[in-house]
Order: sequence, then structure tokens, then C-alpha cells
Amino acid sequence: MWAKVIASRGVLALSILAVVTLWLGVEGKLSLYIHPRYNLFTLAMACLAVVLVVIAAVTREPRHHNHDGPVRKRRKRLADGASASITAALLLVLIILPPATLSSATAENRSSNDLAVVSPVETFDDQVSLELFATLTVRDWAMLLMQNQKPAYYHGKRVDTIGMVTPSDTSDDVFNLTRFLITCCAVDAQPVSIPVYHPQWQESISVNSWLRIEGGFAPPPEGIETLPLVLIPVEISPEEVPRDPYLF
Amino acid sequence: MKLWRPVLVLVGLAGVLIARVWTDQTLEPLQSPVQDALTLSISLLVESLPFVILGIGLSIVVQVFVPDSWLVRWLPRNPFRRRAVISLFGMFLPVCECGNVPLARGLMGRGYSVGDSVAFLLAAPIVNPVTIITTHQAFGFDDGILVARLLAGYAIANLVGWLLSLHPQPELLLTRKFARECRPPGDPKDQTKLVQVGHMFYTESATLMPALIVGSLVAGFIQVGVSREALITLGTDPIISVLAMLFLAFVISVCANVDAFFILPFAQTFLPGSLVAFLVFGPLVDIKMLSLLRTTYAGRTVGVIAGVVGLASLSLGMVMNYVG
Repeated sequence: MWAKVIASRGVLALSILAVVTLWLGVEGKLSLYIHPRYNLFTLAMACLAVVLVVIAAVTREPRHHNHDGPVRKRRKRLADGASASITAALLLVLIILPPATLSSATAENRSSNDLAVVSPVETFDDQVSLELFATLTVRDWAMLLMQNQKPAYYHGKRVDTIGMVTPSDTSDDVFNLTRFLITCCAVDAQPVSIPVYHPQWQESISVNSWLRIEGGFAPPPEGIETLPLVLIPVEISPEEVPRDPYLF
Repeated sequence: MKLWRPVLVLVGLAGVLIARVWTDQTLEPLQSPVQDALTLSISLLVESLPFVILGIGLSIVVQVFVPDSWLVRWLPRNPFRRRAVISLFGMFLPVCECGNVPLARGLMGRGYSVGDSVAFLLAAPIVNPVTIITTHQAFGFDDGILVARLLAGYAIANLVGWLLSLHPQPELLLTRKFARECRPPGDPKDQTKLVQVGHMFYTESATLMPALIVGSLVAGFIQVGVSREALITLGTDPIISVLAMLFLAFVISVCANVDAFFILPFAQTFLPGSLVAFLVFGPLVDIKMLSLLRTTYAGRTVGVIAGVVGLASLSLGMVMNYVG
């Protein structure tokens, strides 16, 4: 029985992974792991995998004769047992643990606001309607802050955006509102963030929570020299994790 | 054939689906870096899965449906020219490196030598059209990064293929299990095509999936443990920056089709040679890929592949950093 389980672990793993992938696709949660442009290809291949699994079940597993000696057999049994345990553990996680977005731990591990990631996809000048600014994402604001650090430019431009709370190392009175940018999958996620000035924020806001913040950018109070501009919130409200937590 | 088996399989998969829906509504994600490590591991798995399935599918097509004569008759007989042609196969197969492993196994199953398969395996992720387009989108022709990547990837693949072809007993370069599978089976013609497809899918999945899962899990957890910021501080030294990039490529195991976008943010801090070292080394040797290579090639063979590719990438990066 054990030998059969070991021999079948690849097909079992592939079929479970394919089913979970299909479920993620139907639930619209594939984008927690990969860029949406790969959704169709991934789902098509997962369907193909299910068909092939059924064919493999119809035709039964091939018989292999083991010609190894006793020492090699023992080593192989150990290696197979270890890999089967790891495979089973991850498959269990796939089935049991709800999918989740990357957290502040990864944001802190990776450098934020790398210029090439946030590089201008479009420019915002004084000619555009002020209403447009209320639709900008964290990425857009981070880009603007890098392009223009003159306080006058931000006067009257309302911020209304959502993001995840991550700690800031510039001041205890500042936290970062962060989103991750994805080019292929969560592995290449790059954090982009804007600084939010909110004294004693730790008392009412928890790291990793999602917030909607309305307000505007202005120079920070004295004592925070490293940041030319911070977001001064007018209203902060808790927000559900969005369906697409990453920006693409 | 027993028809209750596929019914049982489908019932089992439906059970998995029901469990997944139920736990999604009742359980909460973990609140710790472990959750991020698992998310990164699953991300690697989900990203690789379609390519692995496509690779297994192509491997089955090559082994079951393509005639022997068609696969070899138009290839040059001279081993150098033969490898030079085989290492361009990737131009017609926009499959990422994980998918190339089952295809390389399929090619060996149809009589290609170990050197041939390695030349294909190492060149394919770099010369494939998607990789070329994305590298061009990311870097254009700046600093010769695209050209250096293409030429170096092609040359290194042929160099490693040639080195392995010198071995007097090529069978020893493979794992015992795979070498056994490559021997001509006793009675393949007695089996229907459907049975052959089922058996090959079973064998390839059994070999590749555990390796892919273990590789993804290790890569996911290491990424949470290794600070990228610390690596970036090493970016301006012509030697250390190359080593840092090789280490990063080894750890992150990102797909060759998009690694140019991944590395783009580092272009501000790292020297061009270091970026090229990343772009050449990463598709050929990383945690996930080593795990997959070990399903087919003996430990020493994988060591030679990793060593030669690593040294060549290191040398290339250093030369570009000093000369460029």
C-alpha cells in the first residue's frame, strides 16, 4: 500500500494542484499568486492535467522492477519517504490554508520604491483635472513623489487611496501605505509605498491591516527631516483586502 | 481497464474541491512570515505548473506520436553541428525551463545523447522568443545586455553539452532510474497509444512533481530569510555584485520568460555585467531547477552543469564589469 502511495504521489500532487488552481481561477484568486495575463493559459493547462490524470487512472500505473541492492533500496525508501512527507505537507497547506496576499514582512525584506519599478507610465501635470488625483493608486502617488517634491504642486490635490499598513523606519509617527507590484508572480513582487503621518498610529492601527486614506500631501512637522512630504490623513477607514491586492 | 478507477479519481478530486471551499470559508490565513513563505512557494508552483504540464505533454507527443526517423534524420551527424542545431530548438518552444526538463527526458527517451539533451535544456530558456522579447522590453540594446545574454547562453549550453559528450559511459551521467527508463522497452507496440500516454504521464508526474514541490518550498522559505536590501548594498563592487546576483538568481528561481522584468529595478544599483550574470545563470541553475535536474541526471552531472554554468557566468559578469 505504502509503495503504491509513493509511486502515485506525483499524479496525486499534480491532480490536487490542478484542482486547487481551477478553484483559484473560478474564485478570482489566481492573481494572489500570478499575473492575470497567465490566468487563461494556467487554467487551460490545469484542465489538460485533469484529463491526463483520468487517462492515467484508466490505464493503471506502469510496472517498474526495482533492481537496486539492499543499501540503495533503504536509502531510496528514506528519500522517497522524506519527499512524500514534504509533498503531503504542502498539498495539505494548499487544501486547508486560505490564500493570502504577501504581508509587511516581505515588504520590509525588499527595497521599496525602486525607481525602475515605479518609473513613469504617464505624467501628471497641472493641466489634468483635480478629480483625477482622487483616483490615483499608491504606485501613482509614489511615482509623483519621486518626480516632484515641491509642496506647492500637491496643494488642493486630494488623495483617496487604499493600501496595506507597513512600518516605516523614518519615524515612530509615520507608517507606510504599501502595495506590491507584480510582473509575473508573487515571487517578483516589489513594494511601493507612500509615507503617512499619524502620531501614535500604533495605538489604533495594526501592521498588515488594509486602510482607505483620504487626505493630502504636505511637508511633515519638524523632527522628520528625511521625508520631504508625507500624507496627512483627513479620514482613515478600515478596508477589506481587495480582490486584486497587487498592482500589475 | 477498470472503469471504476477514473470514477474514484474524479470523486477524490471533487472531495478536494469541497474541502478547499469549506476551509476557505472557515479558516483564517496565518499572521506570520511563514504565511509569506508559503505564498511564495505556492506562487512558484502555480506559475510553473502550466509549463510543466505543457512540457510533459510535449514529451509524450515526442515519445508516442512522432516517428523516430523524423526526430533524427534531418539533424547533422557531426556532434558539434548537431548540438548547435538542437540548442536552437528552444526558439520554437516558448516553454519555461521547468517545462524543458520533461521534454529533454522525452528526447533522450527517443535516442538523443546526454550532451544533446543538456545543450537543448540549457539553451532553450534563453533563446526562446518570449525571453528575447521580454529582455528587449526591459533593457533594449543598452549595455549589450540582450546580446550578451543570448550569445553567452547559447555558448555555455554548447560548452556543457560538449563536456558531457566526452564521457566514455554516458549512461553513468543519468540517474539509475532514468537510465533504466531510457532502455528500449520490451513491448511498446503491444500497448495502445492511450495506454502509452497514461503510463508516460504517470511516470513523468511521479518524477517531476515531488522535485518541483520540494524545490519551490525551499526557494519560498529562503526568500523570506534572505534580505534583498542587504544584497543590493553589494551592487557596485565589480566582483561581489556578480556573486550577489548569482546568489539571488539561485534563490529566487524566477521563470526565464520574465526574469528581465524582475531584475530591472536592480539596474540602477548593479553593474551591467552583474545583470547579465543573473540573466544567464538564473534560467539554467536555481534551487527549483536543480531539484528538477536531479530527477534525470546523476548528482555529479548536475554538479558539473552547475559548476561550469556558474564559473562561465561569473567570468562573463566580471569581464563585462571591468571592460564595459
